[in-house]
Amino acid sequence: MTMARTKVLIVEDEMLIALQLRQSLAKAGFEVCGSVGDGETAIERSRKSLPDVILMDIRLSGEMDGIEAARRILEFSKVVLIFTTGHTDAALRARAEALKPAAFLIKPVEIQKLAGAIASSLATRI
Amino acid sequence: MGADTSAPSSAAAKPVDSGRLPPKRRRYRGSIRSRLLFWFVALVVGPSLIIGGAAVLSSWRLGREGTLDQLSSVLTLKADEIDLWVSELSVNLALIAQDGDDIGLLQPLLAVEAPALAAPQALESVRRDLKAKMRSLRVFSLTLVLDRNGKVVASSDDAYLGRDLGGEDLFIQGLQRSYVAPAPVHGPLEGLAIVAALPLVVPGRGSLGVLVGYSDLAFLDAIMSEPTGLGRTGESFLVGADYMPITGLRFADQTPGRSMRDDAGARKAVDDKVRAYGTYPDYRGVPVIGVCAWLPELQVGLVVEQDVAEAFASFRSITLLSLVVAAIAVLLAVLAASRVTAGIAAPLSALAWTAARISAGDLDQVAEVDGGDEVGRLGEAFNHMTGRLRYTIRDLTREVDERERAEARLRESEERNRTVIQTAMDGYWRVDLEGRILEVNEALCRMTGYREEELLTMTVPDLEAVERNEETAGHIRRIMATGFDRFESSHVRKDGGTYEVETSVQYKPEQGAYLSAFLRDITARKRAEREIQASLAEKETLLRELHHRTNNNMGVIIALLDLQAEETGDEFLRSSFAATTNRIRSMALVYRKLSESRDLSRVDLGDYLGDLAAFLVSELPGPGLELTLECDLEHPHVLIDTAIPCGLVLDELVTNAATHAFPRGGRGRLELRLRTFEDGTLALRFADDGIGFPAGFDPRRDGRLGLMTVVNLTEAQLGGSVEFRAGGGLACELRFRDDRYKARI
Repeated sequence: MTMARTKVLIVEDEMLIALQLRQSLAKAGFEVCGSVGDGETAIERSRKSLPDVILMDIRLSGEMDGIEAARRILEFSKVVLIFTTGHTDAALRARAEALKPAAFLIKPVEIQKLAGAIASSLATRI
Repeated sequence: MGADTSAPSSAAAKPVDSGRLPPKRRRYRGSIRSRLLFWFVALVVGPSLIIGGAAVLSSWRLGREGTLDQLSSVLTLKADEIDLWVSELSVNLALIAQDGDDIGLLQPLLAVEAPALAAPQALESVRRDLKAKMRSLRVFSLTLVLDRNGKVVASSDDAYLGRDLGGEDLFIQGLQRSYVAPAPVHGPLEGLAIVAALPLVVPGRGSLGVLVGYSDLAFLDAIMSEPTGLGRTGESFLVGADYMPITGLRFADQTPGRSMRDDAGARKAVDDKVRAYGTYPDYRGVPVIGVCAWLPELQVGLVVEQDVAEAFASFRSITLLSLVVAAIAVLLAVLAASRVTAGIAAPLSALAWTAARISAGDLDQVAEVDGGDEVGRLGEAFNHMTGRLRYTIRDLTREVDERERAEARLRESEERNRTVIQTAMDGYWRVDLEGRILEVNEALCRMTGYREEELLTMTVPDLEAVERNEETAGHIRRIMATGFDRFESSHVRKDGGTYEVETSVQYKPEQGAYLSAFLRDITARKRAEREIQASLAEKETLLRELHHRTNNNMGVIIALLDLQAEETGDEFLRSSFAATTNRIRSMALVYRKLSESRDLSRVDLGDYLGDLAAFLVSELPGPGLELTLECDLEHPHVLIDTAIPCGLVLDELVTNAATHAFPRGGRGRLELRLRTFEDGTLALRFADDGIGFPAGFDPRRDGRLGLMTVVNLTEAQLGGSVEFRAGGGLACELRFRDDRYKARI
């Protein structure tokens, strides 16, 4: 019997970066259950796909940013949340930290750090 | 006694410490000279006058007594003569009577007794006898024989025969005894005579009649007119009981026939019948000194008088002489006193004059005094004092001038300050320590919209829009503690609007208990500042966004290259893609650090290189190789133009170490150190404990792209130097500065 792979939802408005992450995570053994570019779609996909981990970019296309989308997702899900962003200002970080994410990764995301963060968050969760 | 007992109790009730009281200063009138003169003359002349007056008085008394003694002697002498004369009258009458007893005086009387005996021859004989006796005696001018009834029976003058004198005193008295008295005025001689009467007694038959003899006044006049002892103005006279003069008056022509009642001496003698003396006006009204007495035998008053003018002539001469002498003495005393006082007062006057001149401002005056006496020494002391005073006053004058000039400068300064304040573009107020406004300028009126008189009734909190009252009070206390402050606040205009002010306030307690402040309306400036700040914030946001997007774009490039690398099966190309993505990542990390940095133009080089090295060490090593990194980094902030070459060099060095230094894998140790020297030079040292360079390997000559990149970036782009050192691994040290480029932001 094989263990179910960890499902990761990628929320990233830069499609090349999303593609790179998808390939890298897949290569690292994760199941990428989707890659979306805006918050509303991310909420919808989270309801449908029930990911274990959401890799959430903070700045997204559309009206809703990644922090707001994550807050709404967390209202109905206990998904592991990992923020990725190129922004490091304190206010933004404070808003994000309020949702108690598993990690806060600065882009360009290093795949090894990302994989390690997912692994440790799941281990903590278990 | 009452006053003696009350004085001590009064003193006890009101004790006075006289020893502590300032000496009472007497205020003198007149000059010193006049006072000296007065006292000198008073002390010299006063006693002289007293002594002279006493002498004159004594002289007057002695003269008066001498005169009285003399007049008294004259009176006594004349009284004695009169007395002697009266005695002679009685004696002579007795002589006549004795003769009559013998021959015929009794004849008429006997004839009366026995008329038959009367014979005309006998009467004629008696008459001749009487006449003969009168001639021989020369005393009587008329002789009468009165019978027992007072009838004239015989006379030396037939005209009197038959007259009846029975009622006369001379008869009544003469019938009893010898009688002498002035004749009655209505008598035979009309009163101007002295009558003597003598009883004619016949032994055995008693008194048969009276012998009467009249004597005129010639003899008395002769006695009274004798001037001996009476001087030039003296006189003596007899006055009867009726105050009428009996003897002649020396000055009768002045008072013909008048009564002597007005003469006090005559009145005294007649009225009081005593001996008296005195000074009084005589019958003429002329002051006389006189002596009077009553002569009882003759029943007349005797008065001896002398004019006072003559009596006291010697005294007056003495008095006049004394007065002349006194006047001369006074004159001499005055002259001497004048001379002496002048000698004393003149130098003092000179000193006073000099003092007056000096007090009038003539400080060069010098008192001209000489001599070694007290006044001379006083003059010298005065000149010394005025000399000191001169210097002192000059010093004071100089100080006053300086002070006046300083005050003038101060006034000018204050005027300038006032002008500056009033013409200043900024508002100005002066407030007391309670915040009450004491002074404002026009600019403040314009700023606030209030008139000056309105502002002068207001306090700072009335205008303050931000601070509460207690905050304003605390603000004032802080300014008092520090002396100065500059702060921004917001005030309320009269129309309710607000404006922002920058207040520069100063407190100098030595200038007074108030605060002076200039208030600048900075509403426009603050608006501009806010706009600038907004613009800067916007630009900063844009710049951060730019850095962020650059970082993101580089992430996209990295992602693109990673995806591209996944497409190829060539390991060389994959490693080339990996090397390129690492270089891009090193640059992206710079932009990330920049976006996180405070000023958006400089990055913490130590932080950046540490993060980059950590990433590279975790990313680069292949299977079988484990690298450890030891960092010793300082944290200079450098421009992006310096940081990016540094990151690229570090990337090449770590890549080179991960690729070539440990060909057999295993554990490798990397060392990264960053130092900053005082001259601004930065030293970046990277070392590994790998195999190092092969013998004869020259990185500049033999190095591949990586090492060539290190050399070129360091020397060409950073303008620094690079040094490789092999042996026990490879060490590479770069030295460069951060001043090759200028900040662009």
